[in-house]
Amino acid sequence: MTASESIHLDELDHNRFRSWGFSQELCVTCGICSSSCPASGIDGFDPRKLVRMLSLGLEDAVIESRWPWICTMCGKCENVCPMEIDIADAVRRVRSLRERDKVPGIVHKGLEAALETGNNLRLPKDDYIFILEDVAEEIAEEPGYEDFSVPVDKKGANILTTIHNKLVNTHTEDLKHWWRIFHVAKEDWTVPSVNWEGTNWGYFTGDDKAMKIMSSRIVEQMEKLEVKTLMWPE
Amino acid sequence: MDKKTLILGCNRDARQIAEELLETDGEVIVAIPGHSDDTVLFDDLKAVTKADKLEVLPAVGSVSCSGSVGCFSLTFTGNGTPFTRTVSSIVVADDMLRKPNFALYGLSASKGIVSLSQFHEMIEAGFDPAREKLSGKRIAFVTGLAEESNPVITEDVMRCALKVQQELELQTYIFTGNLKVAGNGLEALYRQTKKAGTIYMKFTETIPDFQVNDAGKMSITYRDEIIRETFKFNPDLTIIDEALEPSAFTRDLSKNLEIDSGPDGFVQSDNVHRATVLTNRNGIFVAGFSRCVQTERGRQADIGNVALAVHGLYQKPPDSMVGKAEIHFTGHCVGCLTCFRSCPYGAISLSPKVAVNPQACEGCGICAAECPRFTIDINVPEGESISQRIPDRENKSQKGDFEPMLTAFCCTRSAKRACELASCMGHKLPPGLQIVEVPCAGAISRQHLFSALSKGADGVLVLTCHKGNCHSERGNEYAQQRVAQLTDMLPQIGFELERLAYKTLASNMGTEFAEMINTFEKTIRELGPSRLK
Repeated sequence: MTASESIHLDELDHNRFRSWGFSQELCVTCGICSSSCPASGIDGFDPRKLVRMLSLGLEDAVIESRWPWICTMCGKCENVCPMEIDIADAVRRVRSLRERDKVPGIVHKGLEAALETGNNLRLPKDDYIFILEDVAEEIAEEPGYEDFSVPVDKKGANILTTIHNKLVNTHTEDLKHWWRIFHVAKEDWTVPSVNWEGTNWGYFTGDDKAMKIMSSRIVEQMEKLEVKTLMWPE
Repeated sequence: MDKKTLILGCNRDARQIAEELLETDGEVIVAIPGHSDDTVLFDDLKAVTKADKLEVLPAVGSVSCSGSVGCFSLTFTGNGTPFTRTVSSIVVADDMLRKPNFALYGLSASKGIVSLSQFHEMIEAGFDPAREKLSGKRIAFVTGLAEESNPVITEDVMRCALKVQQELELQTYIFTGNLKVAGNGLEALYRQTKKAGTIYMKFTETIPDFQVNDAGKMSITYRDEIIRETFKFNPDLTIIDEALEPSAFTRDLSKNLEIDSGPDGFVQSDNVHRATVLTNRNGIFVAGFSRCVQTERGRQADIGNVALAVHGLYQKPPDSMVGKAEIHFTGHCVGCLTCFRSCPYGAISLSPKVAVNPQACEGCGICAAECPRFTIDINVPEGESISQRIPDRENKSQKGDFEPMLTAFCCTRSAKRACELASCMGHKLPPGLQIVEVPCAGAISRQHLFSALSKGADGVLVLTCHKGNCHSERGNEYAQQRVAQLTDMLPQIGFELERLAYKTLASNMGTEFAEMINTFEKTIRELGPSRLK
């Protein structure tokens, strides 16, 4: 939409997004969402404007706009909406409308990598195991942790935990926080050797199908290892 | 008094009121205004009522009226010779007019641009989009732009839109200013229309631009205030809303029955004392669409309230003369008709001679203050006339500090109560203050004001109800005029202008009362004692 052109109302399909079921047609344009939104005003957008664009069926404009990607889906808008419109859900759904190669930044690329290799970084299994054991060795050098080791694929453990990819990349030190707690609490825990990725970027890109695949892989690990409890720090 | 009531009106409200009054064993005359000769609405009622209890007068032209409550004499002109009826009370319950708002948008009626009422007719005649050759399927309603709408019209628009959305399966748009949903069930209806698919365009900053081309096609250009972009729209049918006004018959009645009307011509003034169905005249009641623009619930309340008011009137014991105006004809009344013209309650009748109807009189005293021959008294116990209440303020040997003697005229309904409230609240009032209570500020004559000064008051204050809140409608304005007239004279008689002041307040303004008095006292303190001391 450019400022100089008029939009032809007759050409819009107002029912385009009706089936989404987020109740956006009930919006009374009170503006409480806009005043609660931390991203209000960026690019001249606010939640109320987006909701109305959906009600009118301004499909191209919502897909092209970057605002649905600037939104953090914090949910403050939904929290205060008197008509109980699922605004943040609607934002995510708008994201799903974009062609995947137009998804901003690395988010879809990371997701693609995860779908292909099991993790966002395409980190090979051997390297992953090496890093885990390397960190475990460092912990074992600390007093009180002499008998520490990292349980990988331990069948029948009490807890299975996923790992955020940065913890086996640039922030390996942060693994130690979790592991020390497990050790002192004498927890019976394990990490899977494959499909260990905790960050599910299908959530951010509005890709339900990919989300399902990533989640089901974790479930698969739990079934395989016969672990009843999942700890998923994401 | 006879339980005989005249109802002026022709609609459902008039019929229901007639029914209510007949049930309490009253007699009813229904006068159907000339713009409707439809007596059908009352046929079933007539069928079950004794002939001497209910009379229906069709196609009444104009009505003139004399007398007051208990004995209204009405003369009707219709198609034949004029005829008269005498009743104890009158109820005005006519229909409203709907005036299409085409002109507000520079439009006129055409095939593609109709009023709300015209659209109703189209629907009733079986509106079929295909048959009407509407090429597309988009209908736009325009309401509440340029001028504020109201819940009656808003409900109408929304119900139409809902019907069109659901039954005719067309896309509806409502271009609106403020959406007036202050009526039973209207917010729920609004939600219903949205769920059905109606799209609302709300305007606060701009008004859409309506253009009709030579072929009669409507083009609306507008700025969506939420999306902040310009849109263009070509609806297939545009429906313009209507303004609601009292009927010409109702407007005429205002003059002929001498009842005050409000800002829009409805025959009830915007005065707190006219709550529910009262007018300024005892025995004349107004209901439904003659009273104001209101929704169904309001109309039902009016019907009940009229029934209660009329019933209450007939149950009342005869009025005593206390507090009522009495005209003395000890050679003083010259028939100037000043009292007749100034009475806000229409309580003075002229034949056989000028007299006050005690049941219509509210004892405001405006007539007594206006009478140029001082021939009217308000009936009060001995020694209690206003003149006799004005206190002597001669100095009682004041040594040293001057203590201002203030005489404040306070009307019973507002200032007197505010004074009591001020004392209750513990406000400090000047010791030199004395109150002269009056039934209405309109009873304060220039003689009273002059008397207060000549009896030694250093300052005289006149405190009345706020403009528009006087029970006598104009009593406070009379008082203000008289204060102004006397103020003009003050320099000639050697008094400072500030010694006489006029202020308004309400009965719940205790703090403000104290402030006014204390500020006035300071002013008088600076001026020093009256020149008469």
